[in-house]
Amino acid sequence: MDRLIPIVALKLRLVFRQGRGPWAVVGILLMVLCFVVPFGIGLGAFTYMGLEALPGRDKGEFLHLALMGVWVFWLVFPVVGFSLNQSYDLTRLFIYPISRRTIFVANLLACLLDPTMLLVLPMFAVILLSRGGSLGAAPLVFLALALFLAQTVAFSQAMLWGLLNILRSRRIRDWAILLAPLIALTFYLAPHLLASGAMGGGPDTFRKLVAWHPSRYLGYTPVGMAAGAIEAAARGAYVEAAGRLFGAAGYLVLTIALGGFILSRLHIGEIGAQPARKARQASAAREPALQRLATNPLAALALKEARYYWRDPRHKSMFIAPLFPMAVVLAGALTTGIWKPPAAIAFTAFVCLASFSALFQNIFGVDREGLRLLFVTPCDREDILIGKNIAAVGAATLTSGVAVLAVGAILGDAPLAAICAAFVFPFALILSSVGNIVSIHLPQRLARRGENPFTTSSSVGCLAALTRLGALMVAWLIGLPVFAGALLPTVLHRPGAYGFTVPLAVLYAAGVYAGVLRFYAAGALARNETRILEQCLTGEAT
Amino acid sequence: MVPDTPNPEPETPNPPLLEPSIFIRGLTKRYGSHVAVDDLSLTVMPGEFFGFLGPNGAGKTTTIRMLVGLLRPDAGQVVIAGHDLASDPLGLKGAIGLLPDELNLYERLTAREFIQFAGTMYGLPRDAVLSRTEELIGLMELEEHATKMIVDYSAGMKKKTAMAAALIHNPRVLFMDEPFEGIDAVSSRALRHVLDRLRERGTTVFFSSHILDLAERLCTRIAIIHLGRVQAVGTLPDLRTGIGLPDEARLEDVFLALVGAPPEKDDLSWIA
Repeated sequence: MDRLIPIVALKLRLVFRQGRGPWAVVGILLMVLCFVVPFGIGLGAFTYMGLEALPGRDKGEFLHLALMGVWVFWLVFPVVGFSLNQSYDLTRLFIYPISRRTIFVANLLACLLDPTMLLVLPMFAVILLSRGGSLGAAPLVFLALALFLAQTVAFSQAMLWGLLNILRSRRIRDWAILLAPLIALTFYLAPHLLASGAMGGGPDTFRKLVAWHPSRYLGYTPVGMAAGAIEAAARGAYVEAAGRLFGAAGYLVLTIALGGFILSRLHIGEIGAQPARKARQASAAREPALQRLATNPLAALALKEARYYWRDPRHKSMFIAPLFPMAVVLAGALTTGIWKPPAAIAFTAFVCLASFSALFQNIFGVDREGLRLLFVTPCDREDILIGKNIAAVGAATLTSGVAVLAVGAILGDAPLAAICAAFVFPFALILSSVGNIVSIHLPQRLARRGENPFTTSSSVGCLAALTRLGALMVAWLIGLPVFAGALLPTVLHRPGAYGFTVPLAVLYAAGVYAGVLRFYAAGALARNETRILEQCLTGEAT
Repeated sequence: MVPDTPNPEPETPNPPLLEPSIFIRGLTKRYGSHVAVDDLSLTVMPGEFFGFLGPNGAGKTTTIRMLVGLLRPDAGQVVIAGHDLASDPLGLKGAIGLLPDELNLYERLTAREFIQFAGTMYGLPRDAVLSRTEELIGLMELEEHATKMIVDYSAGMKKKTAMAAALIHNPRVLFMDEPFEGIDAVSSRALRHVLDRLRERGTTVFFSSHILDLAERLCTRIAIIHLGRVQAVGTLPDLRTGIGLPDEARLEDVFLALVGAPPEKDDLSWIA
């Protein structure tokens, strides 16, 4: 017990300290309150609606489905979360004189106290109240849920330990960073779609869900044992319920034995050691075509930036960012019709470009340690800015343009989307001009692996965040002529005018960019590079 | 500060004065009330292998960062290879190579891409970039790994990659902060060989290290810095003589005498 509690406390502390600085805990709490709790309540509500809507036998089928969802989620979540949270790696405890049993039990207890448990508690409460209504059924339903939860958590941990070797590889960690926001996206979409489906379709939705009779396939699995026991207890078939509970307990014992076995192999190093990968044979002849184009510093810089965007998952996630506004507007437009095509297209363009402003406003943060090389070379400082801007503006234009066109195509207003996409480039150029000034005067150390790539470190503070927001607003103000060019031909019913306004907008934005670069940014960079370096590498300016 | 060269033949023209590779006067850096580098002055001549030694926190890395223009000094003058840091920072940067203690790598590039990128940023023509990159990859024995991203390299391979990038433009002065830390014996020998050749060709090497045996073998002259101040400068025999140590005294003895080795501490109470 004297070691059990510190291990549980350590694991929970690590869960709440995934970010840097005192605001990190607030961030995690906000995430729990804004995503985990609503999602959990949504799942609970969905379960309640299903159990209420379905007749007798189908309630059991629905329970099989709901518990299977929980089981699969718990299997996937720690695997994806492993790379993002060192609390999942219990092998760090092996150097201490702690028994495997203590580590195992502490790990399970910590999992049960993890905030993600809030996802299932409302659902379990609904099941307990709905199916354990009688005095005889209540303890049996409670026991079934407890056995199911323990088996699910123990199995997910056993799988996690068994996969340690794979999960520790850099490639898998990179993918996990990309998968995490996609899973977060499902947190938004799933309740939205489930609720709208349930509200719109009524009982039919639930009948369709259980039409494949999940109990046929899951009946003898841990999920089936728990769901069957609950349903039998609700029907008053206590002997059948007891039999199924016995089966669920058997699965739990087997799972614990499996977990113990895997842990013992881990302990002696037979799982988890990373085999050396065979390196590909290098060949100068396989020089990439792109590299041959990079014959001057400007092209080399743009190519380096583009490679970084693509290869570093924390930057690659920029390209996933448009999925979020797209999901919001498409879910709203296709289910409730709240978003009309022009608003949906404009909102997508706005949010996509705004999400790239984090990159525009911190173009030196991307370099991390490499910034020393960049600043120790005699490369023209104007070239450094242009090279970086080419890549950033290109990435923003391409990603936002594709998102806008996709939303337009799905909502059936492709011409409007094409016009909107044409104005993305000049807006990106203006954002980049203002971003250069912010990058020079408010450089920012990028968060480490597992943290949001463009979040501010605690030392930068609230004032810096407000300044960035102010800079974004200034950029939008400077972009008003571009906005006018995008809007006026439609308002005045003269679509032919786009032939003039698009090139004029590009010229205007290019003029703003060139002016800021030539008359201010290049010189300011040369004067501030030591401060930028300190700020980007240590988070502190000297 | 520039040593006068004696003129043996009054009839012949004077030989050109040998300009120092590194000329530092009154270099100072403060962090609040803490003086990290205090009025530091040094002169290093071309072709010297100059050891810059000191205990942890002495100000070695801070000094090197100021010399290469990565940290702004509070006071002082720095001239490297004839370029004044204050008035011609880009000229200075073109003349130097840097292997910093915390490596300056783009870890999501391959070694080949990184070295080529460095060469391009130093303004080398494309053919030179490509051919020198292959030579450096061969020299550093990185061929097998040249297509892997640097993030997957061992510490030694990362150091060799950074070293290759620092050498690609044939710098006149090479700054190295702890260059041999984390490198295996085979790579270390290859690196020493490269450094010897560079020195023979007139490249000045300014090198900080904790490995005193290595410094004793490699350095033609040594400065020992402590609490931000230079305690002594000279060849090893000069340093021995200066503090009255016998001829057989090792650099470690000189170092400990100059930085003031702390008195023996009591044993830990539970390891009696």
